[in-house]
Amino acid sequence: MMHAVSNIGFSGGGVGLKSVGALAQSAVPASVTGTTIETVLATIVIPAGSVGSNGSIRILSLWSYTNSANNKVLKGVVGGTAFMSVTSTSTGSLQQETMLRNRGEQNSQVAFSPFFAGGIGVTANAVLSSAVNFSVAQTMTLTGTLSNTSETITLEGYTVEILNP
Amino acid sequence: MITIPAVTDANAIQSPATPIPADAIAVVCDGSTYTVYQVGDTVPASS
Repeated sequence: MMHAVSNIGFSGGGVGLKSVGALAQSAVPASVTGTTIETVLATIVIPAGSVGSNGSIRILSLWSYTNSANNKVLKGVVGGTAFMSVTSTSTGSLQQETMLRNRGEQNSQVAFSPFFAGGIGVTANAVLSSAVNFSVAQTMTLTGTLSNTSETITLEGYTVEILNP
Repeated sequence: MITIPAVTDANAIQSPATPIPADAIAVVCDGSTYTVYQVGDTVPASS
């Protein structure tokens, strides 16, 4: 009987590569209606030290909302930093991607403009610089804010991944 | 189906007073209460 033997580390992404870790994922719809107060639709705890000094957090969120001219604010915050703050009007849904990258230490990050719908593209806005300390546990929230109480925002789903080199 | 009170913090952000249970299949907040639909419940039609 033959056995394949290798001393090379293998961990999911390929020989010598590390796999992406899914920290949290849900497709349970969470909605807000009847209020103009900013409302938490998901809470995710980032464990202390889980994002390394050159690690990243990737957040994908899928939203639907009443298609009207009224503002619907879709927001994501971690450790007090808004990594996503998109005001949607006259559309019906949005998928947003954010990469929050540590810059050689666990309390310094850079990300794309939080105001850019979709999260990938070109904008005149500056990049987001933040100082969330990932050496300690941090709480991430995804919230929705209506400007018309008869309308609805739904967080249809989200995926939060941690990538460490 | 269960309901969880919404609480508003010092930053005027409301959240559920207790965590959403793991067996939730849909959640709706109406400004005062989070209604949590669980496995076996009929989920309201989305808007």
